[in-house]
Amino acid sequence: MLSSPRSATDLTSGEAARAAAGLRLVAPDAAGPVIELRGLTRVFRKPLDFAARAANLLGADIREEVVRAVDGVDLSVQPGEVVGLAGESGCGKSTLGRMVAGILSPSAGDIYFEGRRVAELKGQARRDYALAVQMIFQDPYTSLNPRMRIRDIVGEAPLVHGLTSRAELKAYVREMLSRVRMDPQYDTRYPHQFSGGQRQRIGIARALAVKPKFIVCDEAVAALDVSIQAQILNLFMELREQLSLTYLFISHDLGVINHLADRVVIMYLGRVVEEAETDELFARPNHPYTTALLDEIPRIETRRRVYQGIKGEIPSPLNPPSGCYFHPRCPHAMPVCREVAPPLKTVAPGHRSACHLNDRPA
Amino acid sequence: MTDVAGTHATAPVADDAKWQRVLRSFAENKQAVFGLALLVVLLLAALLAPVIAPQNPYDLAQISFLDAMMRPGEASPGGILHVLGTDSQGRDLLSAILYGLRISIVVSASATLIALVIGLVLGLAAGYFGGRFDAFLMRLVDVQISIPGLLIALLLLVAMGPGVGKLVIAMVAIYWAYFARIVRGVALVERKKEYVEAAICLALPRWRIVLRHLLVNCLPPVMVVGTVLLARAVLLEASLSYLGLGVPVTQPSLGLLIANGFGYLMSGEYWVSFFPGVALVMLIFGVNLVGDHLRDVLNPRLQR
Repeated sequence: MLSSPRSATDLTSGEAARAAAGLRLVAPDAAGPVIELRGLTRVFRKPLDFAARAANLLGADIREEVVRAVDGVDLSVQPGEVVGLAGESGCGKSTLGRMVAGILSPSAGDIYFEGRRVAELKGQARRDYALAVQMIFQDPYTSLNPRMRIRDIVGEAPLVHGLTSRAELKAYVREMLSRVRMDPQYDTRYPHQFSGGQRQRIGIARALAVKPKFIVCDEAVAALDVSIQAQILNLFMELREQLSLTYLFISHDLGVINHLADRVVIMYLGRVVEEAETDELFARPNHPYTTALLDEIPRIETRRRVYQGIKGEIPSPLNPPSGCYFHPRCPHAMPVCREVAPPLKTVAPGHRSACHLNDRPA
Repeated sequence: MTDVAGTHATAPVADDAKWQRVLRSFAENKQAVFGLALLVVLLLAALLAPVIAPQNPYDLAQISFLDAMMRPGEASPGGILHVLGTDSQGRDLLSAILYGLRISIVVSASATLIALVIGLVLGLAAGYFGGRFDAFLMRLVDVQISIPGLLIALLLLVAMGPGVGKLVIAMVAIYWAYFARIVRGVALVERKKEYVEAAICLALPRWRIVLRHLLVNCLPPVMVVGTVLLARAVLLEASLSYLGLGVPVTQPSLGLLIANGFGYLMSGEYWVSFFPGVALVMLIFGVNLVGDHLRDVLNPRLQR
């Protein structure tokens, strides 16, 4: 059912990507990354309310709750590439995706779109960026406005932004619907008249209608039946070839990531712990967290094996551990892991990992 | 794989299925149909009052003191049959009730509608923008709702003086808070939904997101609260008029008619209070029945 989505030409290596990123500092370069993140950080605060401040005056020690959902992430995505972003729930991958898509603003760090700093974009350029980066959402039941017809859901944004005229809107919407393999005659129906898979297609048509270059898929198939998942994943790959799209594919499902992605980024508690090309990462995982994640992928061959699970719970992001965030759960934890957060280091060409084990003399 | 999605899974149903469902469910429920029929009859009666009323109770030339306090069914020497009797000033009670119904409905409906619009705008703004404005508005609403509405209206009317327009203002001052709170709550929930994020991602203008995406999805609960508050507004208007702070004596609403006849209740001349009271009860009952059912129909959790 699934065709192989990766072609040899699309395999831009991470090393080349970084080299290009270095050159790109001088001038905007069409061959540079579509999206580049530098030290991207998002902090969520819950300010103290009146009662808490009053209690503090009386001697209580109530602190502001601060969560670093995304903590200094560097990432670059080359044109035509599919980058898979994986990690447990709560690791900040959705927050990262929302910042890239312009729904959330970063607390610190920068997003570069085609070499230009997004924070500096104004007016037309800002709008072009907003439209060029679109998002496909996880829940097809809440991602479509229940009170709008399909033609309005898909056609509103292109009409507002002048990508089509009122006279041509109907044909435009129908073209988008055929592109996601939906019957164009359904354009006057409402979302509740469709199944989950069909709704997800409508969501994709809505994103395609503003002619994006980069699509953030936030767990885009997680809410669907497995058979429908395969259809939607294949649709993503078809569209990528037809429209030369670039994807940031966020998923907790490593099977899906392995199938789709050219390069994989693993996140843990808001930080990137490992990054490599897909084949390299699945063949030679370096970080203990990645190894643990890969061990837990259910496989037919390993029917009789007992799943261990990663020992311990994911720590509270309100109060993350010192040093390497993974050390309380890591089977190889050393004293240094409690003290110092390991930086991302290149362990093989295009393969970076943040683990102190790599510093041990061989 | 290459088949067109939509030929399988759920068979899409007709476009306006939702409203058909609302109507069908309405028709199936005898209480709702009864309430709606009652409301339609009362509204028609109020609308056609100048045509169907035996006399114009506002026209002093048509009223004679000699006809005062006639029993229901008596005919005056002038030839008018007073089906429901007359009051202490010789007004035909049926005519007074029809005209009073008009005033009651116009005052409470316009007050509810204005309060709805104000509450909708403020509630949407609070829910969408949040922050200090939201905190301030909601504390104001808390304070407002914790004071009995009748008391607020009395104070305002004492300060402003009586009059139909001022009565409406006083009632709006009470009811906007209920709408604002409901809308704000719904807007908070809807704002977090992914379709709003999608609209932000599509770089749609802010006003468009609020009006075309948020507003329409906040309307169903507002309609339900609206009918409940409409019934309460009718009652409040009657109470205020009864207390003498509502409509002017020359244009009696149902509440004032009841107040007028109250003194005669104990002396056996029941009809002057009784029939306006019956009309008031029917009006409130009708609105409540329709409102109740509307709530059931529009609540997605109660859908079959």
